[in-house]
Amino acid sequence: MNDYVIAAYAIGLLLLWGYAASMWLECRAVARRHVHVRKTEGGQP
Amino acid sequence: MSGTQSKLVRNFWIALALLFAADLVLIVHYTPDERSMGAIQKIFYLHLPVAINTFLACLTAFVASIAYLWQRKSWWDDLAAAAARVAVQLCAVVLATGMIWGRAAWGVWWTWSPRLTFSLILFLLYVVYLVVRSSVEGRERRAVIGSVYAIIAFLDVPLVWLSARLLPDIHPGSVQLEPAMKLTLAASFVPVTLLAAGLVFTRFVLNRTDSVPRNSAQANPPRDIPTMPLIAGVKAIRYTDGAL
Repeated sequence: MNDYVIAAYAIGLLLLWGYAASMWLECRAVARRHVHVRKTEGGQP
Repeated sequence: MSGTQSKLVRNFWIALALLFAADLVLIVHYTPDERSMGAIQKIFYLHLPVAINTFLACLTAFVASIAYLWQRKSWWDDLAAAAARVAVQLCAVVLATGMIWGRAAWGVWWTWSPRLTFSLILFLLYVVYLVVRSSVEGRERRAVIGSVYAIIAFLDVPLVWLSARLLPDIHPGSVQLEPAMKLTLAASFVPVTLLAAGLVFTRFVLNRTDSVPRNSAQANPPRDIPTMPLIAGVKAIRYTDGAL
């Protein structure tokens, strides 16, 4: 396989899946935040 | 989010990763090399599907912006912002893969041909959209300004589409493909389109979540929030009757 093709797919897939991974981490942080809010308000987490 | 929903979301992303892997196998082992360009042409199977999905993301932002100005429901604005954010990411992939392809095929990383120039403008327009949104105070004002901007920014999409067809351009306007290449191209659209849809949906859910106050004693969340998300790893975010 040509080096240019490998570079294009590596960069392209990294940009796409990297963004997906960053959102996954953001979702986890949001979930923790909301669980924390529920706990501090005396509700069920 | 229930356990079933969580599993469904997790399975979606796992299936998507497997689809990408299968597509790569198809591109490497099944698809023949193009006669004039050789193996370089295989960048096409990522470049074109991502480019088309960039247009679809821009179209989503455009339609959602019109819908917001019409109905004034905040989730239209959140959808527009989500689609625009994903459009920026997809457009970055289009530009990056295009530049690498250009270097291999034309000998230069960049040339100011009409399609390349309009594509760069499209990327910058949506980057500015995100900057403008983050710099405007007040949710409603931000939504109105963002919607008007997104409608105007979309005008660049037909320019990108038509530029290589109507103007003299080094970038090809259309290509002839063998049946095996057509099959690979069609197969490549599936994982890329599903990924783009998944990204827009996830970003939309996050935008909706951001619009809810961190301390529920401060204010009630908007009434039009749909039952909340989503997302693998998230245990539960469900809003009912304005309370967390």
